[in-house]
Amino acid sequence: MMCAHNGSSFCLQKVSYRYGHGTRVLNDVSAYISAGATALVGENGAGKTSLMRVMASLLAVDSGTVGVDGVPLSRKMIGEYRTHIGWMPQDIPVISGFTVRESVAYHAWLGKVPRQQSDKWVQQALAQVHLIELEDRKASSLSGGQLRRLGLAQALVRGADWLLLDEPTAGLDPRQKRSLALLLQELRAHVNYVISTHDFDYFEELFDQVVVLHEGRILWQGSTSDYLSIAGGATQTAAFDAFNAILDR
Amino acid sequence: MDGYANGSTRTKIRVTQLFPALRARLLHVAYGIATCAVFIFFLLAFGRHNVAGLSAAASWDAAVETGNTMIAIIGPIVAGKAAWDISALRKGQVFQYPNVRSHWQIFGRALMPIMAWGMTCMAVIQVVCARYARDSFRMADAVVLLTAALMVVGLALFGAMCGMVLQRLWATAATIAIVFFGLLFPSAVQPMWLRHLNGYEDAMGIPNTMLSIRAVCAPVLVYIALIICCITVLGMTAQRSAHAMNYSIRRLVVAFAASVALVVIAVLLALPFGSAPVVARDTSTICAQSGSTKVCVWPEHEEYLPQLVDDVHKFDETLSAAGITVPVMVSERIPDKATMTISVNDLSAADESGRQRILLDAYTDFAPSEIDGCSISETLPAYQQAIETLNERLQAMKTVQNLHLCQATRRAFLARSVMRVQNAKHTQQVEVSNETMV
Repeated sequence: MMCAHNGSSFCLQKVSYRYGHGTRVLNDVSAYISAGATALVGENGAGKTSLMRVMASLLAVDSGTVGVDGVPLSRKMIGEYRTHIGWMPQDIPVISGFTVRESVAYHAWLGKVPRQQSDKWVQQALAQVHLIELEDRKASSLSGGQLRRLGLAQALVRGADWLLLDEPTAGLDPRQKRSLALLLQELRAHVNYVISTHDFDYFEELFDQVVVLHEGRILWQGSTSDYLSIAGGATQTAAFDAFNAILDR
Repeated sequence: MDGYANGSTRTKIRVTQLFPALRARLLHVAYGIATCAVFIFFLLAFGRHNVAGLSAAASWDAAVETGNTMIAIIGPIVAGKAAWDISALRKGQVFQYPNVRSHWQIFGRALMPIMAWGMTCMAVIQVVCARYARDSFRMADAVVLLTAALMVVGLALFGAMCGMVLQRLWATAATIAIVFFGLLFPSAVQPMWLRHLNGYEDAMGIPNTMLSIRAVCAPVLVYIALIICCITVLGMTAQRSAHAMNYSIRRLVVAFAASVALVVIAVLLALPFGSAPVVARDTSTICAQSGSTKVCVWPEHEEYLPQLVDDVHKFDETLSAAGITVPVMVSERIPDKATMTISVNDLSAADESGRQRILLDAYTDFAPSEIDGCSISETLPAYQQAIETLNERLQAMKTVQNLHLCQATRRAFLARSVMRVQNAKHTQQVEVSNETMV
């Protein structure tokens, strides 16, 4: 599969990765993710987080190539590659002693946001995730849902084209999930994102494309509408039913 | 709006709500004030303890050595703060993000403030000490000043390394303790060369000596080795946290080998020295004539020369009255056969009778090895006995004009050459040259 470097896209070609102890978690994964909102779904241990970390340039692949917006991931180009991505891990770590604003500003600095624009982008990121009123609070005092929004702000502040969010709704209660889902819907118009998730709620509202991962391989990739039609249309449990159907094939 | 348990509400408006950035800045300002207050406190205590000695020594060697002793306070603070800050970044998993900034930029931003604070403190203390220096600034003094800067950098990196490896509180406490005892402990143990490796020297300019360029280079090499090790470990731990693209084990081995080599060279440089990193001073003196005795002092002690000429004149009169040969030269420099060694450091703090006693002490040190058939050895009791005997004789000569010393005693005070450097293992044969007559 050849990646076409036209427009905004993520391209993975025959990517393989194994952990130090020998367990192969990604097996010749090839995918072309075009601009938009993409769900990466799979069971526990399917390799979703590993794939997300590879795309975030946090893991060095054993073989294969990764590229975003035409920029290949290599030692020489890693700096430029990372300007195209924003990362939100599953557990949002907090820097001791930093306030919400300081945390986001620090991540702006880490992303080499120009100094003249930093304050403005920090303000925008906090506004987008509705954390302005908490900007002076210590980050360590935030609730789970607020912490997820902080993580999102830290990813957004870089002004990157792509956000990589690793299980952003894990551990949230239904109300917090809804709140985050609404937030992601707002962001969908402005930024591309790839979200790894077990969560099949709000599927149609949040995603244009779906990639199904199983035992380190891509089982299925396509549009959300095609995905949901596997289960017979956009019913309440269609996303989950479609997932099961793909695994059962 | 704040809610209370009884359902009532009250609106509180804080200044920091009106100016959101003010709170963060106030904290930084408060921290800055606190650290400066700590520094000023120790500066005052330092000054109180050291000013008199610095004033007497009046040499650049004494000034830079004394100034560097503040590293015992500044060093642990710098290292501890570095450990605290870097540990916070590690705990915040900063290195596990796909950062566009390199990890060196991240370390640099975190460590620069505390390094700048440490260097500024050391610079201030050196400026304070430099006010008392009146002799020539030499290469060895420049090396000591460079060592201070290297120590701040090295100790900050050491703290950072601990912060990357240990939990925050452990890292900070361990770093402070290791640095503090690492600086002070070697001065209290054997072998003596060990104390010349860590950059902390508490000798305030021993008279008739000067800093050895060889000895003061030893800590420079040690701290370069420390910096190399810390940078290597920091690079390794940061990269292992993030995208570990082929971290080179070979680089680690080379860095370690280079550090060991530097430390070995440093040990070889420090090995010959005793309790102080000094050699005999061989710079020129300023002289004046006091009767038949030539009196010479180091240039920085020129202001004491008139008084010393006066004291030597009185002393010579006392010796002459007792029929004792007066010295040809009284000098701060290492003596040749006809020179009696004195130190203005000791004389400047004494009253008139104290100064005569010090001159007497120096004369006995310079004199031959017997008084009335009793040998004057290097042991303290015999030495003190000799001093008291001579003192009694000289005092007796003043009140009983016609009493003469016995031949044996007169012979006992013939001049004899004594060449030694206090506490240094090496001695140097010094030629009297380039002396300036006042």
